[in-house]
Amino acid sequence: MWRLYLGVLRGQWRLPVVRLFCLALAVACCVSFGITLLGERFARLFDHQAQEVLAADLVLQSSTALSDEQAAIIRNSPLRRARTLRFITMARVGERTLLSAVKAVSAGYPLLGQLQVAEESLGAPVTVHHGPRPGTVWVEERVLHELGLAPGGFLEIGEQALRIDRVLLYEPDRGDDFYSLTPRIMMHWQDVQATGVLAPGSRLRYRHLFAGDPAALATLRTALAATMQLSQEFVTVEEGNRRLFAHLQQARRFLHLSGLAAIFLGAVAVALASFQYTVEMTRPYAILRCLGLSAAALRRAVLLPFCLFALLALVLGLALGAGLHLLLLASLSGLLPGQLPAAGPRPAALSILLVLFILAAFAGPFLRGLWHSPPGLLLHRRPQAPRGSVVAGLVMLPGVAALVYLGTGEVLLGSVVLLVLAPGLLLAGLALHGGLHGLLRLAPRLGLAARLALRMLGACRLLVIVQVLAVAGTVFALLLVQTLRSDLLRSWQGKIPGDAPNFFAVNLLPETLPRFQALLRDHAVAHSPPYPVVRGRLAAVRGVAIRQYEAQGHEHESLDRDLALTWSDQLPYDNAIVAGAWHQAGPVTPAAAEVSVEQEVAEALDIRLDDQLTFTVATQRVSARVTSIRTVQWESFTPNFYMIFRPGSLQGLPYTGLQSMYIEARQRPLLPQLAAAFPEVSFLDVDFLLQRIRLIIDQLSNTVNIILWLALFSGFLVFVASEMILRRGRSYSVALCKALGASSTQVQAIFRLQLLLVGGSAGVLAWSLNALAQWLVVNWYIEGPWVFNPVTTLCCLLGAPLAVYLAGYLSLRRYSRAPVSGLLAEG
Amino acid sequence: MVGAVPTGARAGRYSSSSTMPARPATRKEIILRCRDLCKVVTASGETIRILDKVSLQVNAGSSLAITGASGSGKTTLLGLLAGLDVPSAGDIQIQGQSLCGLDEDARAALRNRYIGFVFQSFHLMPGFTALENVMLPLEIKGRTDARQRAAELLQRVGLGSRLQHFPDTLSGGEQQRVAIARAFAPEPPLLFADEPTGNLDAGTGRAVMDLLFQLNEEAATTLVLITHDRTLSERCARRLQLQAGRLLGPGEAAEGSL
Repeated sequence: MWRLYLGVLRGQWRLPVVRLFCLALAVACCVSFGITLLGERFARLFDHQAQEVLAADLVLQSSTALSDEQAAIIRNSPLRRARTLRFITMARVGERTLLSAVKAVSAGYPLLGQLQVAEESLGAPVTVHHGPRPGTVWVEERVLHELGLAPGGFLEIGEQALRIDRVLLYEPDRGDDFYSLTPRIMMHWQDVQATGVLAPGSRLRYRHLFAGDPAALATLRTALAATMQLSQEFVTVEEGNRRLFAHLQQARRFLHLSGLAAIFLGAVAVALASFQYTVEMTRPYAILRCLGLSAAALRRAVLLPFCLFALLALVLGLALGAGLHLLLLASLSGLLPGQLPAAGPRPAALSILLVLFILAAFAGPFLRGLWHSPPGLLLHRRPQAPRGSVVAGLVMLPGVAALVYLGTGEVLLGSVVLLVLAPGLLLAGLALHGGLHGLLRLAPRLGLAARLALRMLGACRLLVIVQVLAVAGTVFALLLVQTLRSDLLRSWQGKIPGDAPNFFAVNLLPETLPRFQALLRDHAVAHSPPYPVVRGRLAAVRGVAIRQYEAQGHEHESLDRDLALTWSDQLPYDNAIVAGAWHQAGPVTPAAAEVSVEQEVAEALDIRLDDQLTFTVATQRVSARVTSIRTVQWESFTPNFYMIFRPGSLQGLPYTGLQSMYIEARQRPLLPQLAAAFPEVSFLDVDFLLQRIRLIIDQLSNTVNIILWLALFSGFLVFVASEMILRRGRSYSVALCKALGASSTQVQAIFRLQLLLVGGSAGVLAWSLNALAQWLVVNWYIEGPWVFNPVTTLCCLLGAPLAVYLAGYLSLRRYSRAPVSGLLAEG
Repeated sequence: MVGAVPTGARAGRYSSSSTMPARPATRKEIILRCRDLCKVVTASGETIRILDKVSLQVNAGSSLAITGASGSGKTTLLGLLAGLDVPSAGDIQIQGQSLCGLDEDARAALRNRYIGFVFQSFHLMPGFTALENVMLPLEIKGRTDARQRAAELLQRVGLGSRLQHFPDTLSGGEQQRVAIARAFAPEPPLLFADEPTGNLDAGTGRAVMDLLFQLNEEAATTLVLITHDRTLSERCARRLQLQAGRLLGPGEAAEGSL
């Protein structure tokens, strides 16, 4: 018996359709494994970062020193503890200065996690579990570069000269943004006093780090919470970099969407190949059944080769997927820090599940027909279409939604795809059926070629509709991916234009503002108008004190820190009002203050129109009525504000100016000059961040392109599979027409028309689906602007017919040349 | 065998109008002739000689049966004679016009004008009704009365009530009757039938053959029939026997023949 199975296996491997089946399944598996593996390693990286991001189990942040009571509580705690102090200052070497973020760390730091340093510039990373020794500093590569230093050299912070000991590569509590604004320097706590930077008015951030027994941590947290001042807070791990996060989030979803297209097309190719496999294998299996093979043995004879082919595809797919994942990682090199944590077994398990699922939903329904095929089938000379196609359709549709989930792990996307796809395909199928019916009624009035072409299409209308849907689906999926990709890139680039501000000046004093403006004008530096900034905190919502309000379950990171409050009579150009109305012209009195609130804060804190918000500014309190809710483009590089007041509302409160500028590379020498002329002003250098994000966008685009190519390849497989199915019927019709005396010109005209009709309907259908889905996705999923794309329209309406025509025409030429005696041989 | 008649000059008569049915050749005129026909194929690196120097000629209006065992080359010979396939060597003339050197299109035009087919496996267009199947060669020929003529012929073969039926709803005998109607529809002077009863039971086969001969008689068509059925071959005016790719002389008996 095993010899029989082996013979069946050997015979089948020679069939092109079997190899196509394996290839399509392998591609789907490869894409799924590659993407989920990458996703898993990303997720683990973020988890890992989240635990380390505090360098402790509990962190109390404060802009002032601790009270005596708090110091006593901490002294009595059994927990391990350390302290850090962060401030921004100028590092100096002779005449050269560099605005730097300095962190002073006490002994014991870090309580959790580790640091990475190098002995020399661009040296090999070394892991350490402590900070720099007293008298020394660790600095980032950029500090060395900007100040022309090397380890062993000295730099001055305030009045203290410190020796550069190591190059600082990584510190756990830098936050989950890998890209800080200013170059970083780490020094020892003991040296802080000697630098003299702790003058009154300095902006300082103390952090008290605790680690140890969870019960003791809870006790400490409760004890400290009772004594907290407004300037103190516990640090949460959610602090992140919003700009980067927004891009990564968009890219991740996009990667999933394009990966999904590749997987889906792979599954369609598997279904088509399985259909053709059943057509080709029905007779051989009916013969075996006729020869007395039992039902169970037949089932084995069907399943054994099939399972072996599927296993082969799975192994191939996993191997290719691992390779794809490495390729994707390589395309993201430089974006990810050092070593990524190893992935668990989940991606492999998901991909195996996906393969099993594709087999069950996309191949299974056809396969079942094989062992149910009655031996009486042999009495028919021509193979019958496999039964169970309707069942297949019913199984496949919800199957697609599950596919989305297995392929990407996203439930929402799966539902959207199902909601669009199922009725879309049904409607499209009905429309095609109706269209063909109408054309057939017209047929007698048309020329010979059109008449016969339509009659031939009508003769196998179900198969034709399936082909049109498959081609339209392929073109649609590819175009959707391509369109979204270019739209995404355009919207990214739109948000970060070439002259996006790369410097922010904060703490501009009102009295020096005109002088500062004049200087910028003199040096032709592009800049935004200055925004007035009042530092304040949200103290109450609808009269409920914020601590109480928080206890009611309303949380937002804006509650934990000082907010930059501003006023303006102009709505920033990239903001949009979603509720209420923008400020009316003309100022108000502080008693009738009005404020426009950013949407996310409003939702998180349940702030509604006409609510009264109270803010603490220094020692004063300001109340304002909410008159509008706004959206903000967080990923843009213009200054964004949670709260914009109507002019006059903040009258009489102390404010400073905030201004963004674009400083070209050749204008950089101007910076020390500005810093010297305006010592109170802090300059935030986001040039590095900008370049970083541009690099990220470039690299993400590369990654997306790799998946796009895979989707294209899957689309190609669908084409090949549908060609395989149609070739048999088409070559038969060609031979018959020629036997009846049709010239090859007539035959070609008939089939050209058929191809153009199929391709044309597929193109129109693809365009409609594309427009609809793009609108849905862009509005509900990626949230970008919908852009009418003439290229897409051309691709659909000309490209699809052309592709179908070329693919069909190539095989048609082959049949046209072949002698028609094959008809006789069959007889 | 009938003596050769030089017919090369007459071929042009039939190309004068492609919309009119070709005029049946007058009796005693040679409508089909082949000389030293060879067909050699290579399979799995081995050269197989399927036909070996076959020569024959057929007079217009007569009927010829080619018999032989399975694998003797009958079907290959038919394919070559009808211009469905190309010989490795030798020449074929239909109505005095040589098929050699004609390209596929010219052969198709020749078929359309002179030749009708009845296949063993019917070869009806799936998804086309009986009427549409019979209309097919007429439409290809460009005849405007295709529908009317096809309906008449289907009536003639006894399927007048099944014009709109699809092949898969017809029995084998009915399908073959549609195929016969299709073959006679364009009034070809030459009709090839390849085991026309091979897929039918004895009773149905007999009825189909009666129909075929009856129509042949009425239309004065030349019939070339391939069969291994002796009773069938005996209804033809002449019989030739193929053995291992060679035509046996009138006195030769096939080895192992019945």
